[in-house]
Amino acid sequence: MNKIEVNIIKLFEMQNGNLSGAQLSQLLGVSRTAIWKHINNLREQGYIIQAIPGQGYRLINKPDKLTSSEIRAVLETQLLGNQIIALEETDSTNDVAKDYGKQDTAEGLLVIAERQTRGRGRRGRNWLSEPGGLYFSLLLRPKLSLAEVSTITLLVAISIVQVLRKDYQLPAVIKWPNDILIDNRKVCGILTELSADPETIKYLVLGIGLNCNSATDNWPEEIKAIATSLSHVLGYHIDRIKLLNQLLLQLETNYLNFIKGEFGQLIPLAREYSCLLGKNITVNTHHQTYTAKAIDINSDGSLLIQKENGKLTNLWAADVSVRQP
Amino acid sequence: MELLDIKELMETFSNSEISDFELELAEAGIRIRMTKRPAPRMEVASTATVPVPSLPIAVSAVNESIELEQEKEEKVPDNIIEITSPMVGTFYRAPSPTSDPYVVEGDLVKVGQTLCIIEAMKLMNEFQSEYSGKIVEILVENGQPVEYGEPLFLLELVD
Repeated sequence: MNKIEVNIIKLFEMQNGNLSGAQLSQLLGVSRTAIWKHINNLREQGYIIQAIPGQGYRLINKPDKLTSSEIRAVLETQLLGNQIIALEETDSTNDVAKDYGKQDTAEGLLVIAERQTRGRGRRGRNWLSEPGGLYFSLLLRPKLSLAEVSTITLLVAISIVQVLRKDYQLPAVIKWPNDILIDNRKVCGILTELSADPETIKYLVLGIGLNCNSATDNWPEEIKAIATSLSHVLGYHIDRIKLLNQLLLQLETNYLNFIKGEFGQLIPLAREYSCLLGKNITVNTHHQTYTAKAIDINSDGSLLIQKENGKLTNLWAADVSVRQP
Repeated sequence: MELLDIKELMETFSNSEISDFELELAEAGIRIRMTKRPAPRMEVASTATVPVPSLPIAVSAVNESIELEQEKEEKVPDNIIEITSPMVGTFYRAPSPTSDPYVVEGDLVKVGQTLCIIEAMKLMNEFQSEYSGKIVEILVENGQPVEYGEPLFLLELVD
């Protein structure tokens, strides 16, 4: 898809109706014959474009494909997605983004894939990358100290919850530090990896896996009990690229404030969206499993818990879950 | 200059607003320097009730801290460097529970080589070495929580 075709799609989306060949030719500064050729090219790429005599063209349907040109046509961000690598299949988008991080690639790179063969979660765990999801990674180079950057995972979770609540009216919550749940089932996971020596952050990769249009009916029962997809709770297929644009816009706004040190509501929002506070939880650390009560999210992002012996402890890294009564 | 003169000078200095005072008498080969410590603020100032630590106590405290430093220096030779944790979190020696550790004791590492992962709130920090050298000791267990500044490795510098 070339630049003119990207712009034709953009115009259709802005217009949300019919556009005549004459209008397109005038807006894009090319001949009507050229417009006709580009429309045919788009049709070959899977776009359904209807020609209505006397009224012009109408975009009926788009291919549900995450191609870089398709994404570029929709994306409204400045920084995030300034470079796009869209892959049909890869091991893990985080690994691809990390490879670019080791080179001099500027921050903002978006790596997205239809399928991940080795999608990863925390500590080398598998992340099931079902078709129809949004699996992407962003390369960032924040000029912050390690202490300052450690709450960025909360920021990512907050950004996603903001979009799901505002644009989709979904009751999304955060399970500390950054799993996103709807109806007590996981819909999104985030894994942040960074490379740093004590002085500087070389690169940071945000990995986000979001179950969008996955057909949960085919999932094994044990997965159905703990995970869900957006289309399952919404009851309709969502436009993944539109959602991607909404997520990146929100994340970009929050990230730019964050690196300026102007994201004061971070911890209050992390508290507001948390599904743990005040609940009895099970804590799994590397060495042990125990029960406790989630008390608060501290200003540094750690979770304040009260153990059964009454002792208060800060939690930095652990798997936690709400205990079912 | 008589001893009495110096005493008088000290009294004048301590009652004055001056905080630093230096006097050099080149022909007598004397140099006097007086510095006031910031005194604790008190509403009712009475020179008689302000406790002033006597000189011998201060001297002994200084000696003690010098001794401690010397002891520490003896324990760690000059070419051994303590690599400390850059953040609070959990220390992992390998990328996942089933993979090999990044480094083992005796390994030679280069600048920029990953030594371990420190996790805080699902942020996986691949922590890299600032030095080239040999890992002589790993000071923390895999999966152990670490504090900011906590020693993680002892590294012997190799030129």
